[in-house]
Amino acid sequence: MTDKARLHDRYPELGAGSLPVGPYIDPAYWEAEKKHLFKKTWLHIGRVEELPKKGSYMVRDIAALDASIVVARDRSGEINAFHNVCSHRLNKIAYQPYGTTRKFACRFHGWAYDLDGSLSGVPDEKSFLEGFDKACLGLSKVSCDVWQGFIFINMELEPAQTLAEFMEPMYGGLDGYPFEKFTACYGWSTVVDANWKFALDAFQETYHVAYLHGRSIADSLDKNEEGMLHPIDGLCGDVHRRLSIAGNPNTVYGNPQAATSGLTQSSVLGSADIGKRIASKALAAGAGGTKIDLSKVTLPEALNWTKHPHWAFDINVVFPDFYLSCRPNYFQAYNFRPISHNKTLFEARVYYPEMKTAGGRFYQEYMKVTLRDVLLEDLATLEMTQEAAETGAKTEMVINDFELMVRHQAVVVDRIVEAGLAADAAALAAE
Amino acid sequence: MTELPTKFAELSVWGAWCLATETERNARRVASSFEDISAFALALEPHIEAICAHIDAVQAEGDLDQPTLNLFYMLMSLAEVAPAIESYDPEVEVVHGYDSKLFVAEERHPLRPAL
Repeated sequence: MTDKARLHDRYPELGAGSLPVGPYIDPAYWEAEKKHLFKKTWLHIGRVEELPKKGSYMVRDIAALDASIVVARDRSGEINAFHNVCSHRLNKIAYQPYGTTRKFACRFHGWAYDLDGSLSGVPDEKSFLEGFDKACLGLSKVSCDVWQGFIFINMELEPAQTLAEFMEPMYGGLDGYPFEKFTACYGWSTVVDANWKFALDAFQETYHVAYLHGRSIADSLDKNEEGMLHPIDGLCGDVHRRLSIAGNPNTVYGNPQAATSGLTQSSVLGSADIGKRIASKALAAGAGGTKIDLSKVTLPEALNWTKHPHWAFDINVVFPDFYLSCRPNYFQAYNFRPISHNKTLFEARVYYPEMKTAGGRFYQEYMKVTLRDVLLEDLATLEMTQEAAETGAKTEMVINDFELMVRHQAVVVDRIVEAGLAADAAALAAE
Repeated sequence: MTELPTKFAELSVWGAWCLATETERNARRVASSFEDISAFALALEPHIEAICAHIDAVQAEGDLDQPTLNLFYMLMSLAEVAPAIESYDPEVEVVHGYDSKLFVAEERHPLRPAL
């Protein structure tokens, strides 16, 4: 760092010291996060395109909510969420991760529920005792709303903020990004033995790229005059955060225009190396391969907010556990769903435009498996980090200026957890 | 032996790479030697353009016939082995990577392209 302003200078309220390790290894801290954070905020759960028609549903078991949630499109086309718990004697009412149905029927005694969760059928209804009222016995509702085609749920029946209020301050400017045009989705998932914050931290800084991704995509990012992979800029909001990243247009992976515009030959072409030759042929084969014409799409100005000429993508962390990285020609949506203080369900999805040509599909497959392999690099450190943290050898982590998002996450989570614990203590004292 | 379109018959020695899913293709990659995946890539790479042109021509007429579908799967396998050749030489797996068998592909996600 020379005379350039530090990112940290803009956010003095976040502090500048080392970060305590406790919140990443303490089971009691996790219980507090679950109670005061996860059960009180909006959580991303999927895309509207996953529920294409009336009766489409998905079931998501969310450990941080201690809940199995059904999200279904009803007869009017509305998307509703409810607990996957029968009102009678508490069996589940939906059994597959995805499906299409006319009604949800409990396999235990045959109670049936409409797509909006209302109770519609009770076998031998007259044998229930007086006061039995079907109208009061629908499935338990979960708050549900949609932002830019992303379905969110909230366990609070009356959330403190609407989803729009929650998203607007940091992400209002993403209006117009063509999320709905990227409908070819590939996903992977795994359970890693690491705290969810450690897992997310590995994806919200570029400091690790030169080293951890040194064999793979390090060349795809733009280096500054000192050869360092610094982000272009970063923004910290009340809870959300963003990073802007520059790419190297002379690489296939870092080229933001690949397969969207008619492609000019890049410097990767003409290589004698077989690996580079496959990469360059994938890029060339992909040109013009999309079903839709993305060259007509105007990206929102908030995307590359510094107007950097080599801008490649933004990393948007939608608090608490949703990572949304937007590029001109595709986006990545990852969730770091905590299971316990040292276990996280990592769900990674990448959404590309659908391809009409074999060359387009070859390019897409190349990009997809490259991304998957890069994720395998990212995932490799997490369990060792957790094990190392749990030894207690270190009680603090040291953070550089460009790891500001790691700090922001720790500070915001702690602010919410501490406020929750203080409210609990005050309530206890009042009793 | 897996059947390929007549004009690509010479590639049928690589027929074991005609695998329909990413999971199968990755499993074959990580169970192969680096020499095997390199030989496969060297054999297929000169045909990429012709393979793409053939598949597009068949697709323009309707659904892909089985030999053309096999050829498409073989092309997908080339994409599967590409990162190993490009980045992890001489390893077939991600160097110091997380076990790919634990990072399970959502083959049945409703938005996953059928092909």
